[in-house]
Amino acid sequence: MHVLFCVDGSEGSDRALERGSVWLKNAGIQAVVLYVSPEVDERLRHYERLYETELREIERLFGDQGHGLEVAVKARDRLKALGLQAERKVRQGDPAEEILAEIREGRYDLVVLACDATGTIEEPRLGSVAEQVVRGAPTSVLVVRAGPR
Amino acid sequence: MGFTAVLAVAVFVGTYIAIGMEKVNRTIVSMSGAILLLLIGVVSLKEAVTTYVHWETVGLLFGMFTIIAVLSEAGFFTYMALVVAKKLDYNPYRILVVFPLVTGFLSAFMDSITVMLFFATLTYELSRLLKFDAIPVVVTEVCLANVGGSSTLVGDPPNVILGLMLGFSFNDFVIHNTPTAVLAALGAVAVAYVQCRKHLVAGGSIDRQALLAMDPAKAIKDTRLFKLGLGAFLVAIFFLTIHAWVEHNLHIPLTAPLAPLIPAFFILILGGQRTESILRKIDYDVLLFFIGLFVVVGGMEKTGAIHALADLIANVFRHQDLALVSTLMWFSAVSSAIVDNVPFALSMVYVIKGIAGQVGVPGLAIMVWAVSLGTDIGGNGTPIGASANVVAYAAMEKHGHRIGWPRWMRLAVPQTLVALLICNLGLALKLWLGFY
Repeated sequence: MHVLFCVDGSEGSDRALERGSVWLKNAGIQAVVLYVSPEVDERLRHYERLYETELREIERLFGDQGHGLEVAVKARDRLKALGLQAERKVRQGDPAEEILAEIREGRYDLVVLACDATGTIEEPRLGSVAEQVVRGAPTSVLVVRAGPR
Repeated sequence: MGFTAVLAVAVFVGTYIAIGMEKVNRTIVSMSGAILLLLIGVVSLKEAVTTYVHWETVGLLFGMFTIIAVLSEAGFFTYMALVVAKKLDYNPYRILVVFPLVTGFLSAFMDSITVMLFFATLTYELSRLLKFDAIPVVVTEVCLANVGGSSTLVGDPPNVILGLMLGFSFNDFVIHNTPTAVLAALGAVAVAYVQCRKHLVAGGSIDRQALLAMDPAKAIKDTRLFKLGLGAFLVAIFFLTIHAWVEHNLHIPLTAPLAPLIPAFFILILGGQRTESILRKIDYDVLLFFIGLFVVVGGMEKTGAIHALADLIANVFRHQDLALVSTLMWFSAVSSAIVDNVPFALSMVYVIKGIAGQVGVPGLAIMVWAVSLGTDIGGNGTPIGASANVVAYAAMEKHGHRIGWPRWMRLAVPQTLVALLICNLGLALKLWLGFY
């Protein structure tokens, strides 16, 4: 089974990753961890292009792999610690759109993501990203509540 | 008002709104507005080129951008941040106070956007190692960068516009704005310290090895370029200080724009293989943005609408100098928190020029100081108030630290209000002493 874990570095997504992987660890899954970096403001992008070399040099000096990659690597390592083999991926753009694009390209059997769900059993309210993914995904989606038990 | 005048006002208002909406690149907006005015005949090409586009401003900005490009390429900002952090013994509380003072000082002479692009990134990286909350430090750095930018002629584009178009020199700004700006900066940083001292450090182990391995000298990518850039920068400031004396006494046309242009061109000549890379870093986007704006605002000025507004303000505030000066400062502050401060400052040039010289109003100079302080500092209030704010905010978001408008304003507004109150007191004192 090909499973996509969506992470964003928050405590909620860490909990979702952990719970999801515990439930699925005996299912013989192939996992991919995905982090979507937010769209960068146009003005920042303009200055980043002007000073691309210098900014990369700062990251190199501080040993910074980039926030997105760090989050994805940490998540992948947590899955590995639970005995699951996983790849990591980083995309940039609108989170829901990029997740849906990854789902279509990767042909996943299951998608796992967190949400700060509110509301009641009768009227559940998902976060906006979770809702868009649930509505748009051509595959099953496991939404894990981000709150503590 | 004739039909072409109505069109000019419509293009002016449309340009302002389009710039504010940020759906289209602001350079494209301003150039489109300028071309539209040329096409409908409000402004002729000759008028645009010889009367309305202020080439001195464009030249000065080009010179400063070139010098900053060289310094960035050489690793100056990273070196500066690491040297200061090391001297502060990597103490987050000292970093909270000193880094903003550094960004304020640098922004007095350099483009604050570039300063904040580097310092937001460097502060974030240091916060990862030292386990402190980077957000309050970065917001305070931005506030002080904007305050610092108000202190000299070259600190912020609005000052360049106000100073060069209305005939005020680098030394005039240093004498009249710098003391006020310094006090405002100290006030703002004091507020920041009180706001943030209890919640700054997140806790957790610090990678001392990584810190000890951090050698500021490693940040310098090209020692020759570093020295060239620093030399050019110091020469530019020196020329800015003496240019009026040289022009008057030696009759050498060392104008304000030539002050940074001469050392800038020397670096380009001596830059060797780096020259092309330096030229690619110059923000031509901003220069074109200015050129377009000069034509758009010039077209508006030609209609007489700005003069009518100036007359109205002069009538309302006749013989009420402090009220006029204070209103100009606070109106500029609030406006620049909402709209782009460059077109605002350009419009205000014509407004205060129209007010000055009328009966019962103070001299042009005090109005220039009021508008420059208000425009530069007021931009702190919101994440979009100045380009330096936008860049710092977006840089933090890119690194996974979303600030959000409420948190930005909780941090920045008290600092900004204290800074502006100090500036208002400074302006009142200047009026009372008749020293402006």
